[in-house]
Amino acid sequence: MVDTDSVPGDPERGREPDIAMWGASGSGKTAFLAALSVALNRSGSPGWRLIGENAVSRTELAKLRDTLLQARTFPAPTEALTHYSWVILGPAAAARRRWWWPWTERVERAPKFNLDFLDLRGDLYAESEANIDKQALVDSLVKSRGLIYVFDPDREARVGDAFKHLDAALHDVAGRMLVGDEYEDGKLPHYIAVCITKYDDPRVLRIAMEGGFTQRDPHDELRIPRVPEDRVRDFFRRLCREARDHNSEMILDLLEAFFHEDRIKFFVTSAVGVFIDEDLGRFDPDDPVNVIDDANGGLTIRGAVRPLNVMEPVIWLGRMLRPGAMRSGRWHG
Amino acid sequence: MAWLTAHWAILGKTPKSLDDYGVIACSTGAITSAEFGMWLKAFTSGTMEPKALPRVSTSHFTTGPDHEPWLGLSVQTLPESQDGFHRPYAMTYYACVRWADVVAAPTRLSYRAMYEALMEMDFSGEKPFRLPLSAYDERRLAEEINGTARRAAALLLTGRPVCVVRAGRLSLDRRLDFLDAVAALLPYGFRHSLAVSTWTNSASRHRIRLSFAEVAPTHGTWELPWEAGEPVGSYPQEAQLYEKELERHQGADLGELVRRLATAAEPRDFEDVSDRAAAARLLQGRAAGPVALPPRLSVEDLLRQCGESIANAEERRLGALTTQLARRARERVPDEDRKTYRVFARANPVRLPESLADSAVVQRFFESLLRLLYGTPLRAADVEEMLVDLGGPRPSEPDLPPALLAATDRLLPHSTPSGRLLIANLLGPDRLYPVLDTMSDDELCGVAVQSRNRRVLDIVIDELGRRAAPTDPRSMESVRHTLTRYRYLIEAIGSICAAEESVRNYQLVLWLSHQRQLTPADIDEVLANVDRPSETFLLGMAALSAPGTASTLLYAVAGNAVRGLGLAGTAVADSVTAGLDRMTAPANEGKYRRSRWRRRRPGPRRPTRLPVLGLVLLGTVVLIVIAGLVLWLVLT
Repeated sequence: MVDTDSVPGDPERGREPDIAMWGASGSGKTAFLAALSVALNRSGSPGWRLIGENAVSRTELAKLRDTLLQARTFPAPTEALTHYSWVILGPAAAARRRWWWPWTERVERAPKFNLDFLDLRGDLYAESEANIDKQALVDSLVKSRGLIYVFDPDREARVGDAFKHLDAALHDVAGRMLVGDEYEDGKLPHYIAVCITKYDDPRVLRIAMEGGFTQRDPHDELRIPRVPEDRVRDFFRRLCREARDHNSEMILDLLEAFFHEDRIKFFVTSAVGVFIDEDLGRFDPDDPVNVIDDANGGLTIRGAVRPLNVMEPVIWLGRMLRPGAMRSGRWHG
Repeated sequence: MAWLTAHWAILGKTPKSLDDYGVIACSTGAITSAEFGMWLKAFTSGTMEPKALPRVSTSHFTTGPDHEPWLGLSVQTLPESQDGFHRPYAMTYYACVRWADVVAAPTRLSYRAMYEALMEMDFSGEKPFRLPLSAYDERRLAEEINGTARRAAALLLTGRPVCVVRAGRLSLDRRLDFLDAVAALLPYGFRHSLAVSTWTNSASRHRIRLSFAEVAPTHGTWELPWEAGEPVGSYPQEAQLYEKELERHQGADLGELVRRLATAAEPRDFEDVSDRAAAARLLQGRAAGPVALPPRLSVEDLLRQCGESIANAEERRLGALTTQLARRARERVPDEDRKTYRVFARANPVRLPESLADSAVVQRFFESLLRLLYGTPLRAADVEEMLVDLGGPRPSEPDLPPALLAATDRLLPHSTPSGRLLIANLLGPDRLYPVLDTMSDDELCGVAVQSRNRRVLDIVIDELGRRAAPTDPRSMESVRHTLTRYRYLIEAIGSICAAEESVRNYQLVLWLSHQRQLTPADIDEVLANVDRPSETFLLGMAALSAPGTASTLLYAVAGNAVRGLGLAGTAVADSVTAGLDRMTAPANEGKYRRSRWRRRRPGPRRPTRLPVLGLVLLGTVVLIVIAGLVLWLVLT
């Protein structure tokens, strides 16, 4: 009988991922990736782009974009370990003259880095390590160096399984990496972007606004209330307390116990953003819902897709993992 | 025909469930629910794409202390419901058989035979199935073999997976037949370690060795364009030799080769170099003489003879012909042929004599006929086609024998509620009401929206009317809420009904949701739920509006036109608003009359002529007065 533990052909399928998506089922991992290219296109600094490195990744990127922008809905639940090899290209800085040779202008290099993402069905994180796919997942997590940990406050309020999904896989990875002497400080070497998703959800927005976590960016014409960087960690803790499962309160402690604190960064994100009434031209706190039920019982995106903080975690991870590639320094997210 | 014991499972979700994918039902015995779950997820073909469903895949695994090998086949479908997070999800129906049983069976097992048998099964209870498998048809398999199949078989013997691209247009049946044809060009024992799929997602890491996909995976897989006929130069020599050897076999000789390869059933492994080399050696042994296959009746002849035997009440002859018809219906029937048979059936209606009204043979004939004309499982759209094809000269009032309706009812899966509604409606109120009773308001509206069928729409509106009786406020509220959620069935009604009927239906639906003439507040509420109301919908609203709502509706109509023409926020919109304000001036203080699109443009406004004139006059008067005063002072 064939060894079903391996994938036929080349079992590694090329490189291991740089960034693995981590989060429960339905927490918005794939939606986050789908929104990434839209976020780059809509970023304040023009010129950011996301392209697929090969035909498979290009095809998948096009499908994900179409799902959000054309079908105006969300990607189907991911069913298997899925790899995307994407290249992020930034805008080049303006050409400069060298002080020692001022007669010609030197074209600045545009930031450019390749990132391989690993997406997967969320329930795999909670499987036992005897599961053959879980083994492949833990292998990939061990080899990756960046994590996007997706925390869905809506799911936490309704199901409350984020702790289970984090705890089981974290111990599996730690068991593989920290038992030996390679990491003497006893911490995992990954950079982890903790992303609170579905900020557009009215309940999440309400907690943010009523809890005093938000403030308005005076330069933002849309007047979307934002959680400032220094308050996101507290907001995350607050959302963990609101979860259905009391164990969720331990998530922050668990993250800080396993990862270097200076390698954890918190983000408040939304794949589609809040609803902006085009007539009003700004955010209306009484009408924030951008995702509504469609006639078939599914979900549809009501207004324009304006991802919030989707590009920022990826660029941050890119800067941490590929510092040389970001040298042009135009972006300081 | 052979019978195999198959263990089964369903992987999926229950509607509105917040759970992850899991085994929601399975047989008990040799394989546990956890094992089913693990193997089903392990042999996923990647994230489902609704356009690629239904998707058929095969898998292989070992279980138990003796590592007993099994073969599995799954059919993945897309139900009409969503999970608790409003996401679509796939349901995977799975059956697996022991490899030992496959080898011991009197006939070889093809993927198509297993697929067709699985589609007939009732996935309930706890007992394993007895799968009836049709005979391995070497001749039909040989007919399916093309250059792509030959090359795919040869490339599989390099040990690397093969992905067929540029074949997205092929139907599920054709893809499944292709997979069978490729497997038939290898010693049968390779099926023991061959996972195939009618569609894979190449970004997903999967264990499928032979599949169709939009693009091939980046590493380690042979990309094989469909019927491209590219030169073989770039492929390894063992693959070139195997392909050349296969090309030597044509026609009946190819059928004989398939038969000979099917006898080589000892387990083989694609990862084993010696097994692969043995396959090439086996192929080089020459085949025996060609096998003469008996001629067959054409399908049209069969249908004609069936019709004659029914008209003459020859039940026994009909039984024999139905057996042949059933066999033909189980074969791969191209869509074009199905259309031809439907035209034939329409032109040659079956006249059922009284004496055969309750005949089981007639019912079996209708089942086979439906399979032949529409394939299985029947879809709601097939039922509508069936009403036209077999419903007699007046499709609007179809005259269908009860045996045909019963056969249709049996072939319709539970996931096609609109088809079930249509059939139950034809079977009469006694059958219709129990079906309606099982459906929630939400399901009813969902069916109306999805089916876009006039008869279904009428049934749904009637039923909602019954439920929204003022004597039951809770039910009334539920209907109102559901109709609001489904936007008053605007699109369904608009796409099915002519203008006059549309207006009448909108009026009815609005009445059901409000149970009174529409007040200004109702109009605002309705319009808030509807993005761009059609003209007929607005007329429906007008027909149901209460006194004193004219201005609200007028603003709504104008606002709709302004938005529809893309004029919102322009000077023209402002002037329209101003005109409306003037028209409705005496009653312009109600807040509901404010239009959402009314927005003044920022920036300086042009001064009007009247105030300028006034200023000039005022200035002149002031100057005259000052001059008068000065004159008076000078003179005095």
